[in-house]
Amino acid sequence: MLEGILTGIATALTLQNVLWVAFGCLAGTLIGMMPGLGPISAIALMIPVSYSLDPTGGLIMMAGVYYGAVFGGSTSSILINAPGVASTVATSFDGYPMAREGQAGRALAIAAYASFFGGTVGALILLMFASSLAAVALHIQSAEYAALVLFAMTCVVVFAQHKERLASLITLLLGLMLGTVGTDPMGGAQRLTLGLLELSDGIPFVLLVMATFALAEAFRLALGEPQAPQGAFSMRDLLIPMSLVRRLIRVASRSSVLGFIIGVMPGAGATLASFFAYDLEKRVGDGSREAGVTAPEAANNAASTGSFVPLLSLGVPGSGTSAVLLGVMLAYGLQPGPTLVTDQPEIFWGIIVSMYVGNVFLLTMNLPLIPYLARIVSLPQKLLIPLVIAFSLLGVLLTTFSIFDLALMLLLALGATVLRGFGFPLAPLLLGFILSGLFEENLQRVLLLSDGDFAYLLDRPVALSILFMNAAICVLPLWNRSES
Amino acid sequence: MIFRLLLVALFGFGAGYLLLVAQIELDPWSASDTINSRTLPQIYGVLLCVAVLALAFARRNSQGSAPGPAKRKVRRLAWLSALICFFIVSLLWLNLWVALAGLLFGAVWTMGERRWSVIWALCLGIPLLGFVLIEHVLLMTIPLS
Repeated sequence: MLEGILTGIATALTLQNVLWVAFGCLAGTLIGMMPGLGPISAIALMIPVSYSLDPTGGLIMMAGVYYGAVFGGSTSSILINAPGVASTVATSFDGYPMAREGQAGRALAIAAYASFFGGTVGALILLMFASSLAAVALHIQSAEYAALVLFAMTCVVVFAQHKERLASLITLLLGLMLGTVGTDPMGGAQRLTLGLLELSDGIPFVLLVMATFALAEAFRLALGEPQAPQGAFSMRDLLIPMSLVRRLIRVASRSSVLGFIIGVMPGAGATLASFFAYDLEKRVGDGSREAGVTAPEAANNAASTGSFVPLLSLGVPGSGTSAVLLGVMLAYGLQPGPTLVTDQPEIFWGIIVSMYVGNVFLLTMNLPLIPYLARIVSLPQKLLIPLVIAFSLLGVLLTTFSIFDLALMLLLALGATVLRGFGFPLAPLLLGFILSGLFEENLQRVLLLSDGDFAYLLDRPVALSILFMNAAICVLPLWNRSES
Repeated sequence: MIFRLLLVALFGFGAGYLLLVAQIELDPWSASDTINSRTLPQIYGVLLCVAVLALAFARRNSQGSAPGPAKRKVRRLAWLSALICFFIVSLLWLNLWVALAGLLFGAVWTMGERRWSVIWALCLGIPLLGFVLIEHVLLMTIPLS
């Protein structure tokens, strides 16, 4: 393995490849900052550029694009509450309020450090355990996924503040219900489309995020939310007190490991990782806003790295983005899988090392920009609101190219504004929407495999353990009540 | 009062959803499955109705909500919504970037900005930047449907 790592370092650190990583990071960050354009769009847009390079250089550049786009998404998430990609939605929960409180610079700096930390931990684990983790990932199947998704949904409701529990359940259910619109993932039946062809593929996630967060936020501001304080942003925002650093390192460590593990599972990806990490931190951590930004950022970066494990070791893409990357690799004539590491070690290890190099570049390039980016939130509301409206509409249009989707977005945004106005949390709605298809698909698959027998779950120890944990946390509120 | 209306609307949404779920056509070979295309949506719909009723019961004695926004600001929100509607409809016959310039102009004006230099800079600058970046640098074409 050491020989492989040295090969990777030698490959990734050639001047040409270092420049391609830097270019990839910059392009990815810029594209990722545009609402609606996430890592998949960024990689897809850079494919023509990558074809002009040799396979190693091209794939190394793509790794940079991937990381850059994930970080760029966090920036728009924190500054204008417009997460362009699902994996940065959780960052906006605490990042945007920090920005509104005049701490945009600090929120962005924490996001950058946490991303770097998560990426570093992810790259280290990848270096050490890539091949053995891939074998473990294959044992996670439909039963475990279904149990895991159920666990995530239960956590959202059970761990919500006591007064918000029912409201969280209602918005979670609304998300699940919106997620059922479109074609049934297993049966293929058209559901709840009202006969509209535009709804046959379901409601696009970007549309829901932009409607419930960006556009609804602009509406809320127009209804009289106070203007964010005019902060004086400087390089000092990048310096975080040592006491806070020590606290956040613990948060980033557990979130990175959690994120990496979730990222390795094919299909789970950075979104689930960031939600899980955020939720975990709010429950077991100190619940501070800084920790709320650190956890999802560290987790989604570690998960992004983790998703490369099944891709490189097994040839199985772990997320939508790695599926696009798989296409790029196949176009180069490379077949990812167990033989890649033996047949073309310079590519396998080169990509892994360049991920780390990409992380270093991302940090050094983005930190100096933060004080300038942070000024966006101190724009007067009469300019900020039209800009958020325009960017969110443009973001959806660039993703779906559908005028119908814009009308649907307006409708959902108005609904979300009303719900938010009455104190309904909207994060469970997004989580419900994300998990709806995943839950139904895996549950149906389990029942298909077991001829409709739920007892099949008892034969799967991991799934059974998750279900036990689920039952245990359901009892937790009753326990707490009797304690108090 | 308004909070109760919201609860009624949510309950109505759940009931309407259940009605639509009942109309989902099932394939003959999946109709008898333990979980078919209707099962989970039905569970979600019923749970929503129950949760809304529980919330109504839990808050029956509380005041429920914060004071509503001022009428002037609601009117502003209505104007912004109307502008977005107009933007959506205008895409059917206008170029995206021209329509975006119109939307920005309307929104900035509605929000109370009256400095012409700022208005023109925003309304022309953003669409122009978008056009150059998206259609010329990223080479994306936007086929609207």
